[in-house]
Amino acid sequence: MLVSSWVIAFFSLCIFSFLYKNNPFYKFAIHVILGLMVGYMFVQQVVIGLSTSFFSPILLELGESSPDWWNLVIQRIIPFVIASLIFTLLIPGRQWMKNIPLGLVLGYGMGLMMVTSLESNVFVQLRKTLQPATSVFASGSFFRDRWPQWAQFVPMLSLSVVVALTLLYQFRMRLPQIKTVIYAALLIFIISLTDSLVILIGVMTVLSYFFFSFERDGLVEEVSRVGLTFMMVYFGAVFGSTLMTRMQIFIGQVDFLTAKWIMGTIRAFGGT
Amino acid sequence: MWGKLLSFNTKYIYLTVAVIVTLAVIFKVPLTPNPSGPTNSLFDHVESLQEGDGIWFFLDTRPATEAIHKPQMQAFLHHCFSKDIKVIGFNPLVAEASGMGRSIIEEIAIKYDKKEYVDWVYMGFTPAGISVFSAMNRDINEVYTTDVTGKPFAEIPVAQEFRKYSDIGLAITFAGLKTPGYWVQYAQTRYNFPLASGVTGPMIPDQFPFLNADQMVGMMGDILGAAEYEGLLRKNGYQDQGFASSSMFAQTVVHYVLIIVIVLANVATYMVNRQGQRDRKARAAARARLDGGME
Repeated sequence: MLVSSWVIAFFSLCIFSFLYKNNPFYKFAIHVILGLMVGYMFVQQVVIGLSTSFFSPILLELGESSPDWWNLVIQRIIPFVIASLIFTLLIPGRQWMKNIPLGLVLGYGMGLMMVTSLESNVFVQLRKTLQPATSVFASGSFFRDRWPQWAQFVPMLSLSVVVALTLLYQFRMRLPQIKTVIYAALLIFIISLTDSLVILIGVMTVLSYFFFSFERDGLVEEVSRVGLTFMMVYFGAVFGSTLMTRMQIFIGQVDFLTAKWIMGTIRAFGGT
Repeated sequence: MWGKLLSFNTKYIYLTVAVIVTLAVIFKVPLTPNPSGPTNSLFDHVESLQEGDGIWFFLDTRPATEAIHKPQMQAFLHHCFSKDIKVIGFNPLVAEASGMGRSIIEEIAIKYDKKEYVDWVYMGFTPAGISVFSAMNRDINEVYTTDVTGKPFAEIPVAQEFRKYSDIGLAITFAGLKTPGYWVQYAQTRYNFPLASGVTGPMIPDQFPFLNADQMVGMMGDILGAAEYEGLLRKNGYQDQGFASSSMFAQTVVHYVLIIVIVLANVATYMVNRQGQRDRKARAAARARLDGGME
């Protein structure tokens, strides 16, 4: 445990030394880490992969009193043979055979992707984007996340107040106070639409930014600038979150160096 | 003065950040942020699960993000084990995560006296590629014949109990790559099961379309999400201080320092550019006067 702490600490400090300047310790550490990663991935993907998906199931099946030969051939042997055809790439004149496994993998991937990506990334999300006007009364309200549960009725209530008082004002009561109440209720209703409106405006303006069918000028240019602003807000959010992530990785490493490496070493040599 | 500020050696900024982080990490001042909507939803969903229910988690990340995903997983597993929920872990999409998962579950499981193979198991990696999404809807035994320790599937009771999406109460992906989108696209939309994510910072904005479209039940966003989850656990009497909450103090201080640096650098750039423009104008005017005099 102590030895592994020292090894990790050594490589951490080697990597951090790059902040001062590029140096041989940094280069050594980066090459060791890359080499380890490739070696580890090879073992996981090829050795363990072959063992768990091919050799172990075959040996298990063969260990049975009556092995299911049909299942063994269909599920293990034929896929293995087809997958092995990828190595025909190395045999002159037989390279065309590599297209069989590649075609199978690509065909399977494309077939799966075409159906699911439309449904999950287009239809489901489009449905949610296109229903701001109705969702404001149910779930998309400005009040939903920020106010208590009862406030979900605020949009419907404020709109009802606006309609009812406007009718009253038009037909019977022409009092100035009613006008104030109508404006207040209208304001509350517009605020309750904020989330949905922001989403709608964001989607339309960002789409207009990527509209290249004709030259953008005049109003379209102005609208696309609003879209650009929306994108800059998004990139800003990503930058801020990235900063948090990078800093947390650093914090985790500093915690290791102080709590586990230094304190662990002190404890191992009889300190408290 | 502004010009000098722009030519300031960045090594001093690195040194300042390093000193601040070291002090904050040593003193471990806890900070609990208010829980956000996605973290609350995830917590509420786990709360709604019953004793004996099962969850799957997918470790779709590399060891580089351990400082983020370990606190997220620790908080999440504390919640699961304290409610006697059974846990099965996988890393079917990223081979490098194989060495991380088991040790993290084991560390928490020991505290709740949970037994490996009975209450939890870590299945590890399978080189099945995208076929894993549909195989897991039929039977995980199709793609996993042993767990990460080499134990045969037939000898793992907890894996036999929760064999497909419809058997589980929640699947959560702890992701440092773009994999939550794959889980939504290839698995959740087709097979309709509760899915959540624990992601790194740059991926947080990408999750909101899924959350808003109810394709995910909740999310833990970076270390902030983990700290929020720890806060919710404390509030509900599940767990004491965790690493995420104590990291938030260092995060906050460093963020303030960096905001000050960014603002100062922008102001300095603006002032230097303005001074440059003034100088250029003055030179142009002088040249014009000179040219006029010569004429």
